[in-house]
Amino acid sequence: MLASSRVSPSLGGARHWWRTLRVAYWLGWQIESNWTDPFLFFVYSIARPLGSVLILVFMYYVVGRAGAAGLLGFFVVGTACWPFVVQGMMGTAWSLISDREHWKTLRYVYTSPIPFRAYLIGRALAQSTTAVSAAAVTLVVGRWVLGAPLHVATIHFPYTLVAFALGIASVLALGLMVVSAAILISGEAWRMPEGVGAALYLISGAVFPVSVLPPVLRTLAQGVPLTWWLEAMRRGLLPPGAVTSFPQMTDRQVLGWLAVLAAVWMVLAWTAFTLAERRARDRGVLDRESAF
Amino acid sequence: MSTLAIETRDLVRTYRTRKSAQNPSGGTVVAVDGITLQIPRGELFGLLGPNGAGKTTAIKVLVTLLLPTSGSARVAGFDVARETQQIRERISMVSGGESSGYGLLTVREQLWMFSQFYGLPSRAALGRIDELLKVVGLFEERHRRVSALSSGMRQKMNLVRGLLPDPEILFLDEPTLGLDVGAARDVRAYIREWVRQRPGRTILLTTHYMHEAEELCDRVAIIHKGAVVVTDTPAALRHRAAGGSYFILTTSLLDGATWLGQVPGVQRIDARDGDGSTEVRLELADDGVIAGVVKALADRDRRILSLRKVEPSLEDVFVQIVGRRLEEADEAVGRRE
Repeated sequence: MLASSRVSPSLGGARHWWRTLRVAYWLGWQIESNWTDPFLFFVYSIARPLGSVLILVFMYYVVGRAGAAGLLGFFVVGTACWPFVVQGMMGTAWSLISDREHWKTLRYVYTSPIPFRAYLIGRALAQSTTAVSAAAVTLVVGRWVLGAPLHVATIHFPYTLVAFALGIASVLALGLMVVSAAILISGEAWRMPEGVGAALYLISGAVFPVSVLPPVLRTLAQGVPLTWWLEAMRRGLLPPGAVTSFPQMTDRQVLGWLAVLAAVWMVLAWTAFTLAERRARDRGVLDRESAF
Repeated sequence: MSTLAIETRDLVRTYRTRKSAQNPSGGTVVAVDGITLQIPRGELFGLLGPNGAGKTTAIKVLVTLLLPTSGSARVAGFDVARETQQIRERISMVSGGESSGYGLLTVREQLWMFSQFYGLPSRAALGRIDELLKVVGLFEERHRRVSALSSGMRQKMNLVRGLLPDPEILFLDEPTLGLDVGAARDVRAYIREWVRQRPGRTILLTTHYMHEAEELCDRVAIIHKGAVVVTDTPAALRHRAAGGSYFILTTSLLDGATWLGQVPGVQRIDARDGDGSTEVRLELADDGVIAGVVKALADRDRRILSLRKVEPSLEDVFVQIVGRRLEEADEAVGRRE
């Protein structure tokens, strides 16, 4: 016979937000680290980033012949940071899409009394964690195999840590933006995050300085916090004098722009998600599966 | 605190359909068409209707997955459009006929995760999970991955998920759909037990199984083409059908039974003579009238060979109201789809 006394829930406020974030992170990690096959684990965690680095080597030598040998550090840092964007931003959308389409749990998660954004952010952070190994492999190979100018003595640790935290916040804001679109579409939702990721890869200075972009794209790039994040990470990790996207700006100005844009995009993302969520409830598409 | 667990007024929900070759201009489908319901706390209320009648859409509005197109709906006294958080803290939902669940978690992990969403302390939650798993016969499977469960087991696990937070209002959308007979019986038995142990808890159950509605529900609303056509207790609904219950009496040959109509309280009589016996169908003002009928037969030395009371089923009620059997209505929906 079951005890009939109800367990009092402690809902609401920061504590519940934190609890939801933690549990969602746990769930995301269970999903991401569910490697029953060591070979697959190797491919995913080591070989894939290694492949990216080898592509980088090839690009570097091609570009190096054109007289841009100083770009090696630029390449390495951009390539090391980009997996956080892929996993974090696209991961937010993929969490929603996989809950809806694959696990078929979205309606139960959504109608539970959680702050739904905390859930999505928790899942995105779990995905971002998987980018750590890729970033580490890229930095190690970049430093000790390719000879990128990464030296412990010249790394500005406090600056890099602040930039990294703001970058992750920016990635999460972009993730919420993407999920705001994904919540309203079903059929093409799987493809959309990759499309957005590819567009950002092009304009946010991941592999080449935004100064080489056409003026319109350059202006667009300056409105995206990822551009400033990658710039700040390079300034934090590489020694003074390395190639950057905005050589005329000081380190402090770059960090300032990153902080402002991260805050602006977070507010925009919050608003966009609120509107999209309401529209999805209105149109009845929130838990509609696409039979993908 | 509102005395009504669920209240809807002229609730309408429409969907816009996409343009297609068959439907070049698109269009609007009315899934819920002006439903007005008042369900007091502590009631096990059933929405009975064929597939596509609007039952699931109505539930989706009530659990805050969908906004109403017009009209209003309140759950536990809170508005479904504006006070979603208050509602979500008081409800949970279980849908049948689907294979939801994070397949790579174990049963216990999955349930623990949902318990955390409802703010249950971890240790108490695990105790409750084990207790509920024992009740539904899934305790031995607690360390199995969800992906390894049969559909019946998943359904039971999802029922446990729904019950875990001990909700004030539980929405069960076709909870036995797709289950084998034994599993469906177990689920129904546990639903009954859960309500019995918790007076004041409310269940809104949708089903297209007549016997399920009849067996479980305090009151039933028959829903057809998005609208509620009748609401009452199963007994009262049966009573409405073709004059309610009646008696079938078999006696030794009567050679005319019109005199039985003179017995006070006999409202209608149909007699059919057979081979050495007469079968009489009697509709009475109330069950007590049968004593007068029996006495009248005894006074005329007529032997009673058998006597039985016949209750119309909900199926009879449905046929009378909708004009076809539930299965036929389901098939009609299937053909439209």
